[in-house]
Amino acid sequence: MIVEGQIHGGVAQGVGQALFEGAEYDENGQLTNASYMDYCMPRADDFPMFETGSQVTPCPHNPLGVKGAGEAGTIGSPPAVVNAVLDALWSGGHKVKDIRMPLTSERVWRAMQ
Amino acid sequence: MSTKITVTVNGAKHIDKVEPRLLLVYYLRDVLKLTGTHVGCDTSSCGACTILVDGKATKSCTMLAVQADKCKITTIEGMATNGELHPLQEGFNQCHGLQCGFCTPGMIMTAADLLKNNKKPSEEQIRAALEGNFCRCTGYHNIVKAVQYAADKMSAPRARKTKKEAAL
Repeated sequence: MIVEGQIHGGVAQGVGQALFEGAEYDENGQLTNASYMDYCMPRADDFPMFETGSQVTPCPHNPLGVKGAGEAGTIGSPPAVVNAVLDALWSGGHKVKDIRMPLTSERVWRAMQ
Repeated sequence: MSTKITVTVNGAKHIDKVEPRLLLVYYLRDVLKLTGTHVGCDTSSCGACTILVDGKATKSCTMLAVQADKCKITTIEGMATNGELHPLQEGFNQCHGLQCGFCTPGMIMTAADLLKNNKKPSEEQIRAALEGNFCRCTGYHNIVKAVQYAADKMSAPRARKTKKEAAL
């Protein structure tokens, strides 16, 4: 239950990074989204329920066979989301090969031009 | 200059002289020492400071203590009764609805307002109700389940609940 909970959180953080979150600086080096009024955090209504599965393999590098698990969600979700967006763009006829996170609507729109 | 306010917090009446600029959350935390209500962003974005003011979920970091004069306030400390957890608290416990726990008091108070007005909320309605409360740890999945748990428990007929409790 704890591992699943950590993975849920990791997935959500990764999706946040892929779609919303980014530290934006102006040309003078001033951080322009330094508060929650400007910085976009994923909210409860941005997500569906998650389904998790695991492939249980003991780690060979320590006597207990233990390893970290929670960050797996954070590592997996950004490429999954970005690839999904690229796939959607390709199927719409936009041959976009590279797009930078976070995939804000402006960035997606620019990539389509 | 101080202003006298009379507030009922978790059933207990308090009469205090407060500075007009004092925010309600700091009145609760610093004057009444009810530190279960958290201060997250101080700009009413994150929802960690949510309490019930006259039964309505309110972000106490953007309300002045003087505005709460003559109001009934419920904080997370007032949710359990006679040492028994509120169904929402039990739900968060049972469903692993928290990890660091910083957002939990606010989540519970917001959910309490939701369940008061909607006994059987759908997953979508729960997520919509909680959209003013940030959680960085859980991805909201188990928080939604905790609220569903509480909704089920609160709407279950009393007799069935007692029978189930007896079976345990």
